[in-house]
Amino acid sequence: MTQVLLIGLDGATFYLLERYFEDGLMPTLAELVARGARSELRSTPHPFTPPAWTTLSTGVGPGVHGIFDFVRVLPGLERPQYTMATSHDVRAETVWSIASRSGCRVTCLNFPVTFPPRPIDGYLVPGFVPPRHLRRSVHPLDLYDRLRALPGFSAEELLLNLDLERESLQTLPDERYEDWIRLHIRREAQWASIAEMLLEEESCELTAVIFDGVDKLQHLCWRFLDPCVDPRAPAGFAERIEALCREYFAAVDGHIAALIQAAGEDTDVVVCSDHGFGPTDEIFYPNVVLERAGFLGWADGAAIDANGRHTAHGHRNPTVLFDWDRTVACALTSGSNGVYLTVPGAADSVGRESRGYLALREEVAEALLSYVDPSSGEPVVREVLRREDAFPGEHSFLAPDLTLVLRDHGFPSILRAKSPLTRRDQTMGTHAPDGILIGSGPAFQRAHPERVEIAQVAPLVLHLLGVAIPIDLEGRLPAELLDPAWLDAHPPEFGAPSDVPATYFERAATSLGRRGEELVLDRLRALGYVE
Amino acid sequence: VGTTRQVLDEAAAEAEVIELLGQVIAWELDLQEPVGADTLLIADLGFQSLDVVMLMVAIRGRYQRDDLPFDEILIEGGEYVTDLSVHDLARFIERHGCARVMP
Repeated sequence: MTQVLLIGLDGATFYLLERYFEDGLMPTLAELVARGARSELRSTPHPFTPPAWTTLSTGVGPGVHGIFDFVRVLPGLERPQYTMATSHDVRAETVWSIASRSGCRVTCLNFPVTFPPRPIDGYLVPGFVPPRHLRRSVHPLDLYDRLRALPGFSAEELLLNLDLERESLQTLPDERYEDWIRLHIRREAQWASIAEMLLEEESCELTAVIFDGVDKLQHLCWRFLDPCVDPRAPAGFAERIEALCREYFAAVDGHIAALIQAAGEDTDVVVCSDHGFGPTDEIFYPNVVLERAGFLGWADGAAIDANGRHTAHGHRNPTVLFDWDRTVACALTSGSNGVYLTVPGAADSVGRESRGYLALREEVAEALLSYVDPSSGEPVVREVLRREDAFPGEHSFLAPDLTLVLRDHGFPSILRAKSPLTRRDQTMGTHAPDGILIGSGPAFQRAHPERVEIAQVAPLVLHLLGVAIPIDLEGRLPAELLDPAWLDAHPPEFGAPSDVPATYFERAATSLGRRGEELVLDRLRALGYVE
Repeated sequence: VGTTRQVLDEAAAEAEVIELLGQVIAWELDLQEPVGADTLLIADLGFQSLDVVMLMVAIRGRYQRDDLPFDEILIEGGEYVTDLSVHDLARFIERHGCARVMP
């Protein structure tokens, strides 16, 4: 029997949703809020999909679970390299695993960094894998045949099309907006259909599904959704796009209603997002600042961005952008907002950071913080997070050395540009720290606490399932959301520490090797950090 | 229960790459010849760039190694290579001392 239905709305914000509650567009979600608990959900220090959903599903911060990006940067090499982050890089136990070994069956759909599937008692379809690899990515493997049998099933539409996603976030022409939104309406219908099928046929105690089109639409269409923003669009176009977006949100609300019906009325329903959303009107190019400050050299032929892009075209590793003999610090990926240093000590896992490293890191941070918008004189970088402060834990050494918080919470571009700051032609959407948390069902009371931390969702879900909460989870149970009488009848139990999964990460990888150390020492000498 | 690790020579690595490709490729292929050392991922097996990424993930998992610098075979002279052969991958696996984990 389904006890908990966890619905993720990637990037959802009350700023927009409350308008849709008021005008009747999302009656199901509005009813859940009216009957139950509602709070803003504070994301991870950098509000980004992979670390945030992983914190939500593990109850620990990125410095413990080790996920900071869609990619995993290999530390300690002569020059940074990265590979796709996978479930094997998650160094903390997930609620899917804790619930499974506590006797609950689990359905987990479309969560990032869940490929390849870890052992669970239940069903898993990972998010963010290429369609051609779906067949071998689901758990159990014969689930694929059940998916294919669903009406309208299309792996190509269900899963990641990286080319299309990158284009949509950067340069999608107006004439393709409508197709993009309709694609997400169809995608969510497919995820809902899979979830409904598994709810009806398997009735796992925990069913969790993410609808990630919310994030995709808000990135592209924020100017049509936020009434405070001028959409700067041809006559009629803004109205058509807004109407289609509303159709999307109404469809998601309908899916939530259908899932609740399939789960049963006594199910506790938790609706949450990994981060919030807001507008962005500019693009910041940190690598241009780093070049001007002498920390970075561009590779021959590194093109100057003239199109407001955040990353290079295609899937290529951006390390080819830089001349590594002249580079000691660079922003390597857009999503992580991270700056990586390539110096000895930068990858040391036990805090043995060299004085040269710490001094260089402070200079890099200062260079970025001191950049000001020429038109206003205001700093563009609001804060620079040191990894040990922002991401405490035994895996903080896997985080970028520095993480940038921009004044609009936007993502930087890693590309070369004529100027460190450009205005966008149009307002886009970008992530913001506060997402949503809604809880409704037998366990919840009507409550509106101001804020709950994203790491608190895992203990909440476990307690709703009647599973003992491992004592090593960082998030505390958000008891303020729960009905006192229910809580009296169901006092939380705390159990043994979580079962940290085995990984194949080898600490030896942090060694630079002799040639690498000589190279970086040469760079440090040139900069005057060592003699 | 202990495990042992058997370091692969180039011939064993080639056989492993061919076996791994059989697991990773989940799309239709119309091959005139069986996969061998000279088989190219993109030209012969229809790999797309994300398929290469997924193969790298499979290699990491197979050898329980998270420190493999794949850029060594993906980048040449500052530019991305246009294709990779089974032999290229086998040499990379052998060169980095990848070992089969035996129960």
